[in-house]
Amino acid sequence: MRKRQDEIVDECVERLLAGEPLEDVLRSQPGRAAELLPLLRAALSLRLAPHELADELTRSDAERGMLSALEHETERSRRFASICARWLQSRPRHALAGMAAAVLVVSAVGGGAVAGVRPPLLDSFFADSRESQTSSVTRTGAIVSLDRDLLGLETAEGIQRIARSTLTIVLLGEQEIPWDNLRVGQEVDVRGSVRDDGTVAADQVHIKPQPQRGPDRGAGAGNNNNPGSSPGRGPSDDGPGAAPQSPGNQGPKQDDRGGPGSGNNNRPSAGQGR
Amino acid sequence: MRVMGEAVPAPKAFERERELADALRALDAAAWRQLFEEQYERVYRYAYLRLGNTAEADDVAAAVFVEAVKGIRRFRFRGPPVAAWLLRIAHNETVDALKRRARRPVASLEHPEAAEALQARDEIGVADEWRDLAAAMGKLRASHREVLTLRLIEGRSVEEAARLLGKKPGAVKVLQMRALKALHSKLEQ
Repeated sequence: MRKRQDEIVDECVERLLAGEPLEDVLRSQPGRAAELLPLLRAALSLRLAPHELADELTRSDAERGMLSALEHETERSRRFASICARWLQSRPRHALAGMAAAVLVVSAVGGGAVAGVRPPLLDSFFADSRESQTSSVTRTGAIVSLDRDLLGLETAEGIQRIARSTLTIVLLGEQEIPWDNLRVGQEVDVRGSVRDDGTVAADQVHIKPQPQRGPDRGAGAGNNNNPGSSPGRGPSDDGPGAAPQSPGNQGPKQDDRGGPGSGNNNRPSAGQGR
Repeated sequence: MRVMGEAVPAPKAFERERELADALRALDAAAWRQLFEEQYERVYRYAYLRLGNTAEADDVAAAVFVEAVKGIRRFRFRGPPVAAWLLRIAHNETVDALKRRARRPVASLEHPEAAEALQARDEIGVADEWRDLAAAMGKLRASHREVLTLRLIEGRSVEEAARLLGKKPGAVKVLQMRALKALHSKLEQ
């Protein structure tokens, strides 16, 4: 059976990624070399490192910045450790009580974990590890409630709680948009992992194209899929090939496409442990 | 300009990814220097290809490592290399840079000389092909740019890319082929 072109291209890309010269890769596909050449050249252009792009001065500045941050962090943890040690020495009775309290808390949390129940307060603390350890699920439905980092989704099985994690990406078409642009009534596909309490920690929320609806649709009727209605629209850098926008061409601006990284409060920045 | 290959690379203090991750978490300076040596160019290239200019790429690449230091205590090594985590930070910093760009004019009116100098550095310092490549990447559809970034810049496998994009591996291969065609066509324009 003949291989599909995308499979052949992928095989060639794999070989380029492994460091094989372009000529050798093309030689192995004699009948297709002409059609593969431009694609593999494009692939190779991305693969080759622009070693001379960053100049030495910039590089050493960046390294100095990192080392200075490192010093600051080291100093901070040293200070914290010394404060703890001083406190333990100066207040042995308090320390004893503190330790006893800590033992109680740990037992309570441990007991909860054994029973399959974890206090909600600790959910966000443990979210990362659980999300990566549980299998991925997909939920489809309409948003029926929105509460900052939590939304209620009406699915065929009932109401499902969807939680935003630091890695949640919200997509409208192919553009990333902020979580805050989600609206009640929107039909969405949510991909994520199920937490111990049944909530789905979303990795991706994909807003489905909104069909034309009658006026009696209910809560969601007034909220079309137009997250771009927030102020501050800007030009897109997607160029002419940009993903389709919502009706009225008021889709999300390009600078909002951060998804998990956008905004100040939902930016995963460094700490997601992924 | 830094010319690679001039200096003999120092032996790696941390050969295994887990050892490196542990040392990074312990704020070991040698581990951080090793990470910087190994990943700076990659992070810089990622930022440059998404932002299309050296001034912003400079800032982003520097910020990524500072953010990494600040966030390392929350990092848990679970198999994927530290570089993947670092590129995730780079993604976020790049997105922030794009947001900042949209909020301000390209050239600073307060410091026109500085803006001109940076622009001149772009024009002199960066090879035409790289500028073209960055410009072509900027014109691609988001999904095309994502698949090319994951596969060719980050070097992820089809399966990994599929997981991150929420697609099946077969669909990623098709998307990759279309993205390469689109990139070639943009480069030809």
